Amino acid sequence: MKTFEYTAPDSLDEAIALLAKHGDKAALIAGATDMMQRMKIGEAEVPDCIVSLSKLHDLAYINVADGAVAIGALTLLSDIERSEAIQKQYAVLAEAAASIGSPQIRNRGTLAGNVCSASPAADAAVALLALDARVKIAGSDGEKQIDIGDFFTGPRESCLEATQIVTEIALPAKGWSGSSYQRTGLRRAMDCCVASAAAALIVNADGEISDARVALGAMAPTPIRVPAAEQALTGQVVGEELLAEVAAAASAAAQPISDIRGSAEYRKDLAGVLARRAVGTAYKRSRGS
Amino acid sequence: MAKQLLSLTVNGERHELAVDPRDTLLRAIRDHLGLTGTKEGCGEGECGSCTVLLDGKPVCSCIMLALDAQGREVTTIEGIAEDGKLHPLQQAFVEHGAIQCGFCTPGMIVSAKALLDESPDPTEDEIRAAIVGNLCRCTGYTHIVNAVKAAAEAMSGR
Repeated sequence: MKTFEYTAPDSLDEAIALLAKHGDKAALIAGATDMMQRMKIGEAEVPDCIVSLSKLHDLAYINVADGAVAIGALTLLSDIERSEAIQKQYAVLAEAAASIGSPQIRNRGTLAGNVCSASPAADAAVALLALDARVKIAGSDGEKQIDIGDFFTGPRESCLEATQIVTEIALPAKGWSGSSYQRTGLRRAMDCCVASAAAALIVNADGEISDARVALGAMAPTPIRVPAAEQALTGQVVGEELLAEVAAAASAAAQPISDIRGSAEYRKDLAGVLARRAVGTAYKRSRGS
Repeated sequence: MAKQLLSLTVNGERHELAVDPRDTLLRAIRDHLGLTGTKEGCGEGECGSCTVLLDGKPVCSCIMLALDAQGREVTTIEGIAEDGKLHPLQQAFVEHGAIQCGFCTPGMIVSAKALLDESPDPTEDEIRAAIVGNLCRCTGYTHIVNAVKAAAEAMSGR
């Protein structure tokens, strides 16, 4: 491997200053599971300078307050998986995190890292899109928060600049009644999904959906939502016909590519199957079963 | 690039090593400390033969920069036996035919130990999920799962 300079700053300010100094000659790492593997197989360029966030322990937190959850950028996927608060209120995220890699990968990989990979198949990213997550970004010109939907700009491309750091992922207090993550892969673990779907619903006491989110992974250059499915669900009680409508809307919205893991036709079909399962399961959970 | 100082604890002992920034934790363990029980299989974090415990949690040491282990506690397979006696997991692996070529074994045992530390009475599904990041080309996993179950029972005095 090409040689590089390694620094592990002691504070976020120091990290920001280092990025400002080195610009795109520097790369940030947290758990580095994605980055290291890609550097070793030659898929990612070895940077001149690696800035490791390993000392920023203050950025590892899951703060629950008034129904909202703030997740620090260095929070491990294994901690998300095990968080009772997230399992209970944001099951789709706990399930998505639990589906990534292996225990070894989840004990190093971070939630923010999965988001920053900006892979259209990034499991946590798809779940977060269905939860209206907000991404906090820090740079030398201050801090800002953006909708996660605006974060992804293309396959493995985000709006994050070389001098910026994601510091937190925030889940607003929407009061989701039920949510679910469904994915299909070629293996039970340790692979990128062939396709995935995430659903989150707010359901009133009469079983009527007042708000719905449906998101798809590996169906487009970025994770996407399916507005047609969401609109079809709003104000309705879930039944077989409605689920079929959701499936059709998801398949129609899917614009996947054919690649080593599956054909575009297969993926388009899977979009409908998984969206139906995600919505169906989210609805069952919201009705208390 | 000049070497940098790495201080870390391995199997209960403090070490200070001068490492190349490119050195992985695996390289530090094997080449700097001579602890060759941890293996390099794929070098990409896919096979798990490089699994060690980092502050008690299993990680792939081949995709972790050694310098990222600054100040951390690492346990390798060499640190699993207690006072020169085989850990119940190691004993169970031997007794249940869970070892053929032995290459995956250190990583398997480390992953299984972490599981039993967290869940002393795991179901078969939980055992399989815990070792899902450890590939074995020889055994077909059945004896490995049985060994972990047996070790769990032995450790809880059942």
